Amino acid sequence: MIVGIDLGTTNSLIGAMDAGFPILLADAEGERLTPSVVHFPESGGPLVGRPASRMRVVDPGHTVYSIKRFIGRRSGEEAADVSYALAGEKGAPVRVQIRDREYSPEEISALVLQKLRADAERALAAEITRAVITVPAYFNDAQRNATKAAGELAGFTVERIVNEPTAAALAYGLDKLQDRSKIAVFDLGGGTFDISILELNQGVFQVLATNGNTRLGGDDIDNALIEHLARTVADSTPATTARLREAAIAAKHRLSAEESVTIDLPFIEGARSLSITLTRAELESLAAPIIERTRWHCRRALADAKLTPADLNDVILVGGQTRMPLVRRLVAEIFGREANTTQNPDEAVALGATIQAGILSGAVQNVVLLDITPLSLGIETFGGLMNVIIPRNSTIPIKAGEMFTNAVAGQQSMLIKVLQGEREIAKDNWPLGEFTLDFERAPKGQARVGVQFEIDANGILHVLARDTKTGAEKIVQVSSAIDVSDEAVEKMLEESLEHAFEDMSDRVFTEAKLKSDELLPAVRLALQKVGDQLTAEEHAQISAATAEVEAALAAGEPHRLKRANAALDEATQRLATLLIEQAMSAAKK
Amino acid sequence: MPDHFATLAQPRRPWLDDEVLKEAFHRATAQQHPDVAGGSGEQASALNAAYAVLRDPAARLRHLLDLEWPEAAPSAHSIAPEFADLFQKIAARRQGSAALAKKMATAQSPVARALLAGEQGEQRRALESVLTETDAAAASALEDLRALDVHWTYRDTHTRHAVAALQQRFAFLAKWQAHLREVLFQIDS
Repeated sequence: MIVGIDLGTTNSLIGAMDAGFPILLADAEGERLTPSVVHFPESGGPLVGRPASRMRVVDPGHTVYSIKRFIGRRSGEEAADVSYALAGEKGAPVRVQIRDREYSPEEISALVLQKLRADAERALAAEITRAVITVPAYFNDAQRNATKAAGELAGFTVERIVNEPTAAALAYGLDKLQDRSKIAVFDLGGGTFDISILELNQGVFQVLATNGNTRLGGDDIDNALIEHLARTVADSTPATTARLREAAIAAKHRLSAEESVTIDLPFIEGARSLSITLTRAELESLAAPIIERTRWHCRRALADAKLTPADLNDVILVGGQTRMPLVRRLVAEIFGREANTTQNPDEAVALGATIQAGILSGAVQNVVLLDITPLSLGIETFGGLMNVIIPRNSTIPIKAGEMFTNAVAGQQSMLIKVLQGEREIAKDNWPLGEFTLDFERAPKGQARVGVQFEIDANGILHVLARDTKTGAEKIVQVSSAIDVSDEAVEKMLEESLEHAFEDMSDRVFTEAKLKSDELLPAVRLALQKVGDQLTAEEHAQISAATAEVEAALAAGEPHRLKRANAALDEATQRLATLLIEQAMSAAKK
Repeated sequence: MPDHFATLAQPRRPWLDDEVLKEAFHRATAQQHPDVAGGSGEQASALNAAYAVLRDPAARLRHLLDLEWPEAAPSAHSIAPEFADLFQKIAARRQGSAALAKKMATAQSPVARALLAGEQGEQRRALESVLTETDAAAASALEDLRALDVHWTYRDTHTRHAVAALQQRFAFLAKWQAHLREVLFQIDS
């Protein structure tokens, strides 16, 4: 038995196959929707789900919600606008600070998953150890790995990570297996937005394109509304904000059906009570700029799939936020048709995860899911550009090979930075991690290592290196960008540079001199072109590095000259990036 | 080198029908995907790689050349003479639309953007017209591919040159089509 789990920003659900049909499992109170909320009381174990959700107003500082926004993320990447405290230095993995203990987002998610697991075990009267867990289609490698780790912490073997819109498509298409059609799944949840275009062909569900934003969802509308309501409060404390949040969410939900609501907040500030009337039009004017941001992603996905809205047979709505009439109007406008609302927006993803669990266990036959990787995978090249190895929207699993050779004689290793994203400049993309390739000692260009990048059916990256001389293969551990501190990165870089310049011979000096002869005039020319865009500090660094190369040349010291060249390369990295940017903008002119 | 034609059980020929190829890919995947009994990631990766190559005429012909004439030197890449005129038009459009995209990027207020709407429409029409022409050139390349396919059984050195020339035509056309579509997408964003 494998269960299917929708681990949502706001709510989570669990399901299992029963006599060929996916069913969702209820907890002891008969509820299928478990709020993804964990409360840590002063004493005793954590509360999860509904009881925890009730503590949001009472004890906001010790009640964790929307943890999915932080999973697989570094501090500083995500706004810390939550009622609980975050720990962790900028650039380090996000941690939640509860009293004197820090929790990782994986640990918090694992508590939610454990609760679901206990509910499922009670409902099915069986031990459950295997699960399919869904993630937003636009989740990157780090976020997928972190979600998988959360599942493992909760005691599951994670059989598959499935994309949420793809899962929803399965739920939609299970009773249409004889059909051939093209559909779009518009999935706007609490924290994330995904749009996926699929082709259904007699039981084969092939994703053609996907796009999205992992920082766009109903939470943003809640926050805009809270900000709006907070203007009526003299000064907001965590306690008033928590009450405003509850009131805002309730008002938002009711305004999907009603034209106007009255928000009553008795004794919000001491003796003062508030009663505010909010109309649907007011909510819509707050929400419109947020919802409007989905349009670009929809157009991008359609363009990538080489389709127009008229080519689609159906547009499916998923995610609680799609209940909002404004969202439905925008979807109708973008796709030129009324959206299909037959799927329960809260349950379709969990049902799809359950169907995928059924496919894996053999309970569901004649259905197969062909998903894609949402983001391009590449490596950083010299000059700071992104070299794409696996383009976005490639069907997974997929393998791609790349050959690396030593740039100088005797170089023993090379640091490879792996990136995900669509930008041409490497640093604008998400750093997935990095690894060091070891070379045999050999003359320049003679040591060769083939690297195979594989994205598996979970959308997770694996790297395999093969020495072309010895044929030896080994799995490369890509240290995740969020596991490696910046010092460790610096150290790796220094080491790889040191190793590269160990060789001592006359030939070394000749090679180094050739490099200097090429480098010095190039730097002068680059300074003429874009030097005005550098800071005084950068100018000083380049001048010092240039002077050192000239001094080393004059002194005829091979070792020193190689170091100086490397230092000048380092110092002029931004200069190179500026030149590339200039060239790119010139190409556009 | 894998034989992508064999992987998808397709005849090793220049012409393949898109729908037939897609069906073959879906049927093979339904049996070899790692999710189904007897399937594996290895097999699915091979199918995905094969489909990506065979569905793209330029990549398919490149692969066909490699399989059929592995010893032959690759032909030089240059713009086919019949494309000189089309290329000029694309280059001209590219300049005009890039200038517009730049103006649009700086125009943030609705009024400023509205002022550009006229130019936007003009550009779009001009781009669509060049794209139509490019699509027509691609359609004609496909016809030539079909004609070549008819005599495939009697292939010789001339056939190799014809395949190589067509490969180049498809490669250029695909690049231009993708470029024009991307520019159209951008000026509408």
